[in-house]
Amino acid sequence: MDAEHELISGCLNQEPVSQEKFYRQFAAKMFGICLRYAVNPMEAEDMLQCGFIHIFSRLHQFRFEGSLEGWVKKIIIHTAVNYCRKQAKFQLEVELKEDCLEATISEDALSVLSTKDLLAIVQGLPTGRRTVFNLYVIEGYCHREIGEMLGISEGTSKSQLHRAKASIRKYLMESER
Amino acid sequence: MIMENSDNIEHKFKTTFTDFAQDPPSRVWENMRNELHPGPKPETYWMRITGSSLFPERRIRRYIAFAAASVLLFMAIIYFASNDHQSIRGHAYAGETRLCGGMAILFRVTDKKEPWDSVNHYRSSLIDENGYYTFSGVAPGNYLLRIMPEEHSEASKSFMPSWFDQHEKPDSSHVIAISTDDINADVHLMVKNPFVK
Repeated sequence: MDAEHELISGCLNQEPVSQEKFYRQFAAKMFGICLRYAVNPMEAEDMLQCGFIHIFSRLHQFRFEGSLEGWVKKIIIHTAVNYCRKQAKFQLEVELKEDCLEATISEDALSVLSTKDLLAIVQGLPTGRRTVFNLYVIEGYCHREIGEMLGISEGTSKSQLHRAKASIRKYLMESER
Repeated sequence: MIMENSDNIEHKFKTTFTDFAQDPPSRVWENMRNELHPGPKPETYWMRITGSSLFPERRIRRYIAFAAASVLLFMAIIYFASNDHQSIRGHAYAGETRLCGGMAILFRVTDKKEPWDSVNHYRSSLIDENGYYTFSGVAPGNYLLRIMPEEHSEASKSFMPSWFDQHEKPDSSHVIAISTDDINADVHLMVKNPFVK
């Protein structure tokens, strides 16, 4: 039995040592994901905790067909998305100025931004735009999948992404001045 | 360099966050561990006290059971042995009707042959509105019983205080002997001589 099987077996037997080891193995990366979906670190902690509770309760469903990390990541993303869905409705109520939608940003402006800055930009987006942006740009889901996950139409997903990018552009433009 | 940069923004975020990791605070795991392995709540602690938990040795349990049974038996014997007291009860009559109120007085006789010379006051009891009186817990022995109607009552006008049963004087009265049974002693008051005040 390899280490992964042994670890999962221990978790399925509700062994605290195995559960902690499992958690420590994925916590940092999963917390990074949660931070992108959350408004603040506290919310991200809630998402992470909720996600790992789901993982431990569904670990028997893991079939060893893909990577364990991928499976864990999928559950964490679903938990984060559900968390966001409970927090806000996906609406298109905020109008953005045309210059934001069509603005261009210099590459220099982007290159000086640190991870912390980028995280702050993402966290500053409205919940709907932030979720769609994360799912499409970072996670690589298509609009149809995003629509299914969030219970919105494909068009709404596209629109939310468009507006998310516009919001980012607006922020970058302001910081460039 | 200025570029139409929707893809540029996407690329920047994607490359930054694809392998982004940050250690969560330790409280996240602590909270999770508590949720995964909740300890028993304080109010759910119960102590089951059984003979085997208090005294694991069977021999000791037998001794204790035997001792407890012996004590109970001894207490029962003491209780029944001391419970040989009886009661004297009855009704007091003024003519055909029951006496309404008054006093019943019980005297203990130490010498049955000379009752009056050896008499001592034992106990008194009030007679209720139905003429009923009772002395409970009377020790075995010989007794004289005197019934007195309430002072200034209707009965006291026509009837005089009397000894059991219908005797004016104690030396001629009936001695009540208490041994193992309760005594029912109805007392009839003697009619006053209308010519004697």
